[in-house]
Amino acid sequence: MIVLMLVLAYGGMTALCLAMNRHYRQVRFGRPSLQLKWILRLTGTALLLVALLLGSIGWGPTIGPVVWFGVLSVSALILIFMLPYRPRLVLRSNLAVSPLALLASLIILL
Amino acid sequence: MKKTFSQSMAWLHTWSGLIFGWILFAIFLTGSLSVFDREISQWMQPESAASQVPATTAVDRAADYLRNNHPDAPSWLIVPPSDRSATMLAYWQEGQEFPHVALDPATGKVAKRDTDGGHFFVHFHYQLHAGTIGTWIVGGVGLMMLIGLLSGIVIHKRIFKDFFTFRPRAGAQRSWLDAHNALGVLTLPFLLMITFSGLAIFAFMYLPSPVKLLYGDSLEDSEEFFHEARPHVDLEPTDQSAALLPLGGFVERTQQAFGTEQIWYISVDHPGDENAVVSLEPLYGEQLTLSNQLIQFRGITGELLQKGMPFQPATHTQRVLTGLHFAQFGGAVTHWLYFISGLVGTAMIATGLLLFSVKRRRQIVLDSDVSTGFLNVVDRLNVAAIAGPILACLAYLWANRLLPPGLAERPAWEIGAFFAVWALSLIHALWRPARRAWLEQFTAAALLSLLLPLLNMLTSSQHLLVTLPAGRWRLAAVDLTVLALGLACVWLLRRLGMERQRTAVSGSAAPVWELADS
Repeated sequence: MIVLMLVLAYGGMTALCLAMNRHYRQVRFGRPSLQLKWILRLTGTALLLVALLLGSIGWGPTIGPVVWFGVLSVSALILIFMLPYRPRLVLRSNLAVSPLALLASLIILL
Repeated sequence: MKKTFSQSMAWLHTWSGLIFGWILFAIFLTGSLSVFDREISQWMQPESAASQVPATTAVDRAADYLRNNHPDAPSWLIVPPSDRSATMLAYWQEGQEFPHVALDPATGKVAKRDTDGGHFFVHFHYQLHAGTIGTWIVGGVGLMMLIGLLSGIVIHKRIFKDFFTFRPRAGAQRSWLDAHNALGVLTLPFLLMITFSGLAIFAFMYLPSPVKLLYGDSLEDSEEFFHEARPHVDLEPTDQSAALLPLGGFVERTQQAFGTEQIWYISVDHPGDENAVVSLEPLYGEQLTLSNQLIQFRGITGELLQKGMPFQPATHTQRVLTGLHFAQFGGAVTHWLYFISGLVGTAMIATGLLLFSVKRRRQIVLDSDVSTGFLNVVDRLNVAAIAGPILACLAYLWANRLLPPGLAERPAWEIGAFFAVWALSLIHALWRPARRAWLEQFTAAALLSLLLPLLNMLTSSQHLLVTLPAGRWRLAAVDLTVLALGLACVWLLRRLGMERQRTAVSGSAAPVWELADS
């Protein structure tokens, strides 16, 4: 559960981060289109919310959000310190694990 | 000179951060360690780490010890072994003080390696080992932390734009500022929560006036207040002595009452008296609120006096805040998240302290009128405030293994080692040039942490080669975390070394001792 939450929050944070011109340029050339920016923002928010939902299922509605805040901080810190050193790895690691995590959490939620 | 609001906030942040950061670093570091106080205690008593005595038997043995050694104490308190630690603590009251001793649950005698264990870090975290005055100092410093956080938010104008920004190659000042901002902003929910809830724990001590106004000044008046706030049974001693029932039975009844194995503590008021009261609380693994599952019995007859504690909303709020700070809930996941967030906060304070130096040094380069004397003092105190507590905590663990197990006043010796090494770090920092002091103290920290697991192998039977194959993760994690700290120190030293080489090659005159690459 905690691993799922971390992966989802990491994915969500990455999506929100790439919706900003400066960080998009760190991993890809050019600027994201306005459309892509909104898709990234919505995906990012959705992933974070799924993580919150998972936390509330795993630890109940009171402890779940506390765990969620901790997960947000840890995942964003991993992202922030990886971006300048291994920008490509950020994208690759996300593409590798995020879909799996999303699938697993869908199974849990349903 | 007229200043804008954000300029005066920047001034406040800079100076309060510098002055109080020196002590906040140690408070945050020991606070983070306190999350794992039981695990550290267990690590520090390897002789009893393997014992698997159930809480019921253990508390009976602890009660025997207290009955033989402190029969006339007005109250006792026992922290039984749990799944987090095999050792137990026995407290007894002496006036307003509560001395304690670590007991081996298998024998009921003082543990072979008498120690304050991880409890010392908890104690230092909120009292600086200075009693009530310490609590006041920590409260004041905690308030300054809150001010630092809020003024930090005000002066960080690009908080959303720079949310994910970290530029390690953008020059020393920029990189340190980025790191400081990133560490602070990303853990901001935790930092605000932990600072505020820390203050809320001692709210009645820090802000006594409302209680005094409404209830009166005397000790009885404040007792009356606490009685109303946290309804519980208090019986007056009768001076008729009677025999206390075995405490193990009360543990069992509490386990049944709340459907939990883990007991937080069991306390006995007027143990040898006819009106003895036994109070217990389970460990709150599944809720934030603390103390609402208090259960009380008559110690002589076993009659149930009270189950649960009906809170008023205000008390409930305060107990939730306390619960958020103590982090007893959620198991290992919450503990690690708290530990990491706490260390991030610690690092945030450290980067803030270094940022002061870096900025001031640049001012000196640009404007020769700014004096270097003050900066030299700041540099040296920074070393003692950052490397010092790290070395002191390591020394505490080393002392635990090196001091002979049977030494009298052993806990005091261990704590002595903590403060002695911190004092040495200060003296060393004042004596050496700041750059050398950083290098040497971090080298010492790296050696102490990398060699500690080795020392553990030589001096105890609970080392990594035993704990890892046996899957004893709670013990292994202590060794592994210390190893990780050692590797982090080595990484920092390499960065420092690279920095020096580059300075030497470029022949730059500016004393670039900073760790960041530019």
